[in-house]
Amino acid sequence: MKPHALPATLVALALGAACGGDDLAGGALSVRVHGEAFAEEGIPADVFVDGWAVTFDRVLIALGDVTAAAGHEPVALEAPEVRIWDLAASSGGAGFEVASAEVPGGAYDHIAFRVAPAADATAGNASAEDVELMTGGGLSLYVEGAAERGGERKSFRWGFSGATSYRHCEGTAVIDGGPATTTLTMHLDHLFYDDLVAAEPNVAFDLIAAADDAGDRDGEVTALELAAVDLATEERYQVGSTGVEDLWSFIDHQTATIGHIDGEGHCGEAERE
Amino acid sequence: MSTCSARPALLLAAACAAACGSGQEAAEVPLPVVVSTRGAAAPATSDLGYQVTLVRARLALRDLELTVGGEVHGSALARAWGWLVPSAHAHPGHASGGEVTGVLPGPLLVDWSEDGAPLGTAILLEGDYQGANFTFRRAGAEDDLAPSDPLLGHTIELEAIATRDGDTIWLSAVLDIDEDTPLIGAPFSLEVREGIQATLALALLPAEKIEGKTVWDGVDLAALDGDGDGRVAIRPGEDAHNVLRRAFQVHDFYQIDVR
Repeated sequence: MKPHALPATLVALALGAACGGDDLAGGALSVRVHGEAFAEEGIPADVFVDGWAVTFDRVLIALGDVTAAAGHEPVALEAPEVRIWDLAASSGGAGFEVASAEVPGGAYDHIAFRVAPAADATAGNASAEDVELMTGGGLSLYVEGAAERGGERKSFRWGFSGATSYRHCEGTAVIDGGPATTTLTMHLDHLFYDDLVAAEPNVAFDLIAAADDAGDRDGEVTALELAAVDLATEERYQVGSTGVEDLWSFIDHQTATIGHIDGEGHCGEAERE
Repeated sequence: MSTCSARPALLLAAACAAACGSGQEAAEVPLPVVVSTRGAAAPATSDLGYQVTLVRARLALRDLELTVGGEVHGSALARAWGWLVPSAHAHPGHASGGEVTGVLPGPLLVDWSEDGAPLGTAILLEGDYQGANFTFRRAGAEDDLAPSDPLLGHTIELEAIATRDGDTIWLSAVLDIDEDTPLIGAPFSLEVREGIQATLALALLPAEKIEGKTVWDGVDLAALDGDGDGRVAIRPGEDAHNVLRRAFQVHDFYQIDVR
């Protein structure tokens, strides 16, 4: 992938000692975005309860409004511009750098970011064509790929336009005289969860595949076909109080849950706008 | 993370608030929690035109939580209450129910046949409460049910009478909701301050007022009465069961009344 330029609008703020970091020296904080192996190599069959395996050709995300603070200190890194990243692209396991800045010492445990459509978004590592797809389509997330099981294959091309703000993400980067990295981690398996409220949902594709079988059977599962799947009588795919009634809305709801921090770390707030 | 040592749980929050630097101790306010039968037996007309009146409703749940809106000097108090609340709030979005600063922990079996029946005493920190959560479970040995009790091993037991076009159907249902399934955001509004006198009452409301939805929507009772005997039994594994159990997981049909 072509190297990306650091945004010109980064702001590094001089400030006092961060919470608990009175003796820590400043350094370079790098914020990266990563879809992990699931995005770059696919979700293997042993993750799915029904034996499907998913690979992604593209995972485009519109990411912006990135901030980092140590405790309740003022924001020390700010990158408001929205850029388009393709998380399916190989990153060698490191993800892609979104922003970096020289910041005061401290434990940077207050990370925030936003996944939302932006007409003026520019390329992170995405191609010009991908940027046009996202900006022209008003998309915040676009996934393209296929699921396979034995001899069966179902492709998909899904675009989502929801905007989600992630706040109070408990980053683990500590700046103390040297560089540190915090990674906005996107969990793509959430798109295939079979429950919106359970603590440990399954990852499944059967009902998604069946949507094409009940539709035009052309081997591609479309948003319209998913919207035609009524969840009312399904034993799984519980939705709690969300009001979700069909499978497309179910998957769309899940797009607001993919954002994490430094691997498995959670964000205190994930607000769908 | 809080390094506060183990102490009687209900003192932990106040102790941690001081030890963890917030410099503010929050008063603990005990409030009794009872059953409210308000609305439970009121007829509810479903989207298919059935007027349904609940005759019996029992629910197995645990860990009633009371929540305040916004972040509670987020850290010490919220983490302290993590000691009291065993349920896992692992996924983003759960916090949309508010910060948990009040709890009645442990298993509860709510029987909406007796108004005022005691459920226990909740402990709440002072605050402006806006919601309530609880966790569904399966009724078990801790509930002292007879071996033949239809609720044993299940989550909800219902009996109701439904009428439509002059026909009457007697409905019985047993519903299974997965263990540890949370219900988030049941309405509850109360400004809790030290010394307040109030009783919290858990109500089941088969019809919600804003959109007119009922727990019975989508269930065609006449179609289920294959033998025409006027009796329908809904059990796990059936489509009608799955429809009903979705409804009973919606926070619109529950409320914490204040007496």
